[in-house]
Amino acid sequence: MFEAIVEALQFDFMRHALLAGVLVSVACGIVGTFVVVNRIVFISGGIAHAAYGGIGLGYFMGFNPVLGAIAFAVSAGLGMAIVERKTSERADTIIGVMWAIGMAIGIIFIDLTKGYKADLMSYLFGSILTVPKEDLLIMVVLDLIIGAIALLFYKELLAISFDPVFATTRMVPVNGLYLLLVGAIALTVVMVMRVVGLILVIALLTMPAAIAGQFVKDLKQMMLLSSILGAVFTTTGLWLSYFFNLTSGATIILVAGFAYLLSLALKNIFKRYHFNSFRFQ
Amino acid sequence: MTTQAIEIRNLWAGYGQEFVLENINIAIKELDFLGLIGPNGGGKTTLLKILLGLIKPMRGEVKIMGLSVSSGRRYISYVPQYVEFDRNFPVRVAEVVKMGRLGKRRLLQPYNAKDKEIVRNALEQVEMWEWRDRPLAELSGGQRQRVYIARALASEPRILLLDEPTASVDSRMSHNIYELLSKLNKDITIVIVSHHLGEISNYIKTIGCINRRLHYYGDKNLQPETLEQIYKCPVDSITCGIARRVIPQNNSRKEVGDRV
Repeated sequence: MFEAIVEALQFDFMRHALLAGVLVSVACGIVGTFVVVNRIVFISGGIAHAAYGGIGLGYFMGFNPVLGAIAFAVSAGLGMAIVERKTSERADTIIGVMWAIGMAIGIIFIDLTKGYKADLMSYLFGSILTVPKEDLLIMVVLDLIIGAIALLFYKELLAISFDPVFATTRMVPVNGLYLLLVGAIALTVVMVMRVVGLILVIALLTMPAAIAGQFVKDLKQMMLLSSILGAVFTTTGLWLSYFFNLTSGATIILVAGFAYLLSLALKNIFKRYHFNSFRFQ
Repeated sequence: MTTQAIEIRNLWAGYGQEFVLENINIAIKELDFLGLIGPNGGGKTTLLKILLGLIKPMRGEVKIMGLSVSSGRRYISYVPQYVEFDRNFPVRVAEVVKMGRLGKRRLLQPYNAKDKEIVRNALEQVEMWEWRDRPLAELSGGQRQRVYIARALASEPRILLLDEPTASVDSRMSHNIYELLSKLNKDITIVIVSHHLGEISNYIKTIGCINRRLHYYGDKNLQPETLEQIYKCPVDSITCGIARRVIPQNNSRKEVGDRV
């Protein structure tokens, strides 16, 4: 086993993959925490799927699909956020519509593109094993940007997540900050797409934060713990997929999902125990 | 001439085509303790939102400390009735109170030592300093209400607005909260919105009865007969404006659910 691990680490792709897993986990831990406490998992899912439109456009026009994904994710995210805040329509319906339209645009563009679409599947299901060195650099930069946003605007982001009405009365630019947050989600989504694919993005964004939220009692700790958990899940999932020859993205998600269910069970057992000891004292 | 804390003239407000408030005129003196009472849906919350600058009036004029709402609202801080509070939201007491300082610290400007001092003062005033590092989720309803009052105090307001401050609190705790407000009233103008007259009548100085229009505004010692005249329906002594089908006392959970 140990030799096998050492042997695997000789490969560039394996080292890159492990590093990519850790890098996306940092962004997921920070952004996912805000997604979970603000209850905007659905918007995040919408952003991920709408990004597919940009991938299709990139193929069709012949530029890097990741750039297309970023453009579509950011504009879809901002669009959804504005719809959610400003209109009296049912926000979730409109988000669902944008989700589907973005995805459909991507599919049509890819239909229209001639030739062999080699790594199309990698956007749907992720391809952590083929992350090139340049992408690692992009991930580092995105991590720095997201970390800086969280650090510089922490007091306001906490306030608008906890009680936006009070924050408004204290002159906090609530809407602007919310758009900034959605922008950060969009960037994270595109980055995570490389690792687990757009279909599974929400899972890696929310599960580590959801687990952390059950055990820690303040937002900073929640970000830290969910980043660590994310790194553990991606690394574990990656090794499992390597040894058992499974799809890496799905394996990572199943590891996270198993941990989430386990944490729910543990929490309930703990609660019952706590309740009983309290009752029979 | 003294400045009025809040001055409302010919205010009309509502949503869409419908008026919720019609022709409201109030002049609240500084250091007043006003109880605004009225039935649910009578426009109390709308009036609060106007004072906080969350919605704009359709007609009329509102002045806070002699200024327009957008510049005057920095003198106002408010205590929400019942924050739609995610019980699992990971935040500690001191962090919540610090949010009261947001108006004084711009973007990218971190909280400083003075803010910490003010947060400490605010928490000591509501006797919650020992709880500063506790997660908010572990507090009882009354304790949480105190934390929200501390958060409002941390803004160093001249005017404090409270929306049903004791809606989720037992009667002993609500007595406590009103005692605290009486003490604060020495330096701060207080406006409480409630549909219960009974429990606040011992503490307030003036009373306003609002049900779409301002039916009464002035001394708090108004007789039930006056009230009945105003509303043209029987009113028992503990409520203002709601007919007898009023929700039983100590059933605050249900009241909260009913409000929306």
